[in-house]
Amino acid sequence: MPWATGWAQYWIERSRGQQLLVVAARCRIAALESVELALVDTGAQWSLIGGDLAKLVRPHLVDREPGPRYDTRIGSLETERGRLEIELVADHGMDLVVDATVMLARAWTGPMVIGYRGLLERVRIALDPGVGVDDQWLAFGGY
Amino acid sequence: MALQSIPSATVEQFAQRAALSNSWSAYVVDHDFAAQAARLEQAFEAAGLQAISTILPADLRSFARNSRLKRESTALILVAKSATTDLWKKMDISRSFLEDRLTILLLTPDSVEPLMRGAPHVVSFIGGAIWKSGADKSDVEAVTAAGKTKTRPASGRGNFAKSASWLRDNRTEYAGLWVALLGDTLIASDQSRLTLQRKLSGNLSLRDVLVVHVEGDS
Repeated sequence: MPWATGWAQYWIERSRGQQLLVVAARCRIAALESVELALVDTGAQWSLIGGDLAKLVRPHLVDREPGPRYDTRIGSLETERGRLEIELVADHGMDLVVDATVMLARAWTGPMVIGYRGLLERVRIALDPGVGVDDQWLAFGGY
Repeated sequence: MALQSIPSATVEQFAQRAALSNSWSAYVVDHDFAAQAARLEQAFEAAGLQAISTILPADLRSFARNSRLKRESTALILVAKSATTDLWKKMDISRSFLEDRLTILLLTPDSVEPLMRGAPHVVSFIGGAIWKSGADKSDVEAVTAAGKTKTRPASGRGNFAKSASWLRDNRTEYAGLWVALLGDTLIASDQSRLTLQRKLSGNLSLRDVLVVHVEGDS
């Protein structure tokens, strides 16, 4: 089995309000169907969904429970934690569907974050920074 | 790190993760310390690694020279029962003698705060790999258990480059709005993400639609 099963273009250094999505990849929250842009952050302990998107997602969160307070660059957040199916969208190969654990925090005004625990810990990823505009590729595969 | 924010795992689950990381990890237990250390040794042996446990020594340098530690396949379990900030500071200074070794810190809950305060370098070795003891009957709490993955045929279909091109061309006109794009075709836009989602709900399929907030030039 190849280590990567999907390849997707990603954006670099895309602004989102006061935040910067250094690596912005597409993912689909299965319950919403539409495709979102998310910051891929291996340094983030958890995946995080905030603002109105959190409100849209909340009814679909499985095994929802109060989450721990979560420290971010904008301060400490009250969270809820639960499971959510998140798909990494591929341009070639296969989309990767992850039965992920995520944090919801209405007060989080930054982008959706794809973090380590509950999501990236189940995924192999590699970044190909490419050489030109729209030539950045994310490779991923699951276990 | 507040103790309530630390995820829980059984001894065996923790040992499996720690063995895979081949680095530093910490495990917090609040009862049966000696029994938990012994169980941790057994769990490592089940994972194919020899393990030895010992009380966190004050002189780590001398300790690291112990010939038993030269075997690379040996996991080292340092039992830090109620360790003080001063002891962690010493540990922080002499940490490099163990840096490349699979090292487990077995902690009491009251040792976590002194560890964070006294040994920032050790904490950086550990990273996020700190766990607390979970009930034997449960796995990692159901909600935080690592999920499974599956694949589906690629659905991106090269739309991303088209959407990126549209956003570059229309950035000024739609600055501050949420937009829904199907490739380089605008489906809907609104100031509110919630309203936009309502507008989109009439569409048969949203699977190819990218929803993105358009930032201004500044």
